[in-house]
Amino acid sequence: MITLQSSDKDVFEIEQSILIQSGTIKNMVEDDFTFIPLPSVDTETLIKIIEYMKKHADKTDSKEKNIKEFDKDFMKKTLNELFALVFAANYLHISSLLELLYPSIADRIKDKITEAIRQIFSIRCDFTPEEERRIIMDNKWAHEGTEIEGTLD
Amino acid sequence: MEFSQADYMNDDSEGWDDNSPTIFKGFSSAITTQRHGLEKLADYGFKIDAYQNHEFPTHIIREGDKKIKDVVKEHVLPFLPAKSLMRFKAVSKEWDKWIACPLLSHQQSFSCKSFSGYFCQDMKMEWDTETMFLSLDHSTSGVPCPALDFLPEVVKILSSCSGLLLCQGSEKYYVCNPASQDWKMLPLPQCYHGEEPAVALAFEPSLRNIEAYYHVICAFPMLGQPIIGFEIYSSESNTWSCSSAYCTDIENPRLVGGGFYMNGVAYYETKSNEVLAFDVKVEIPAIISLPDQVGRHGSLTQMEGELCYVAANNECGNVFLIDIYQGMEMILKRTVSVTLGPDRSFTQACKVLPCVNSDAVAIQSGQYIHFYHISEQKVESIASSFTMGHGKKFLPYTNSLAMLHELKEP
Repeated sequence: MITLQSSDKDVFEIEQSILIQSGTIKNMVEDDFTFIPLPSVDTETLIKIIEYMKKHADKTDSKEKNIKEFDKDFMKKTLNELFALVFAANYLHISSLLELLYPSIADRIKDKITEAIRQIFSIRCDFTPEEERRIIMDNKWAHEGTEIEGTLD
Repeated sequence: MEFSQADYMNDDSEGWDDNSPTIFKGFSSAITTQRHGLEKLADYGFKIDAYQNHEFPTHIIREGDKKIKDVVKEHVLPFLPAKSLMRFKAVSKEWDKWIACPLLSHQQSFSCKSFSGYFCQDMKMEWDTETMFLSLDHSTSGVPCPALDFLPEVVKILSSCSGLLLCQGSEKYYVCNPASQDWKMLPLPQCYHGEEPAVALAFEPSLRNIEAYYHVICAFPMLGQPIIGFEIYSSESNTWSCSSAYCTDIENPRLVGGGFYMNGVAYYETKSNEVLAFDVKVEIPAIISLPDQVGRHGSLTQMEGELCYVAANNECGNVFLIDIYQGMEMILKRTVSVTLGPDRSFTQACKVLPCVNSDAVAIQSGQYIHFYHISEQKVESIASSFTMGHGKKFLPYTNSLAMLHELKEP
């Protein structure tokens, strides 16, 4: 059993066999660590990560459809939650989760207007009004067909 | 455990060499203070004068400083369809520059595989052969000019594959990407392909296929004989060559125009119940017998990565019976009964349309195209803007930014 400690100082005891899906944790376990502090992962996100790894620990054929269903439901979270998962999965080196997250986030943002994208990702628009007008005109077709409202979720 | 301090100075661009999505390197959070780390490196005499003020060149972002917008730019954008990407050029100068970059187009061509809609064209009307694009979702998928006006002449659309379209003008073949409006005219073939050539475009974008090579394979009947020959164009050599393989087993050598390519094999429909298959790599033809389809208008399609034949019938009201046959043996895999569209008392003729990279069955009926997603048991419908009728070609399309490379000057 390995103990993980979140940034909020909550501890979780999990079987090693489940945790080795995380490249980071695997390395530390191989170096005989049994207590692993994770200062960049908060409790809420860590709980989700553990849930993911538990489900993916048993990869027998019969469970494959089950896992696919789980993955689909697992992605039904707010964008902020997905972003937190991206950073955690990156830090923990869980590539299967990253491979699931990136296209899911793409799906969530693909129909948004540019201003919504700027708000969601805190991107400053560095075009002058004239430049912005020009770039929209150049790709006018791409700006048609979108909804007016852009929300964080 | 010693964390390598050198990991800290990782260059993001290394990630592109991996086959799998970039795994961020470095364990920055585990290092107590960044400043401490850099000073230690100074002791080792590394050339870090440029970094003394902790100012890295702008394209290198330290792991600890990565924000979600940087992650999205590197890892999420390649999964977006072309229309969304072109729209997001207006987000900021950095995104504008990055989205225009060939590296992103290359990544996107194999990351974004989702089915976006159909290019359609009325093949029978002499005076109105304008190509149209029916998008599954107008806010995410589309092309600047569905009528393909950027091509030098009016064309018939013949085949589509992974975001590229194969068309033919009065004589010449063209391969184009309607999203980027990039196009290339092919040299004339050596053999006569017929009035309505049975020709398939084969393009498989992949991480390694940086040059984005593609093939065009034409199956043509030898005049006066029940034999089919094959001629293959390769974009790598920019030449056509006749295959030494022939198909002599075909009962009815009347091929329907166009063709479709999947998993290394080109498929051509005939006017009878047979489908001609041609393994492009080893150049071996084969015949597939389709199930009897009296009164039903089925279609070859791709479902969950496999070749399928789907036939549908409007049983009564708005209830449709769908049969799905799979594999080279065309074994009946599944039969579903589903309600599509508004309730009505009469039945309508319907036609199955091909799909790619989707688990959906597409059925055109009345003014709609209904997509029935097998696993979710969900129906999505789009307005077809065409009335039912034959002689209309529907080519499934993915909104990719695949580039047409010209390695030699024309």
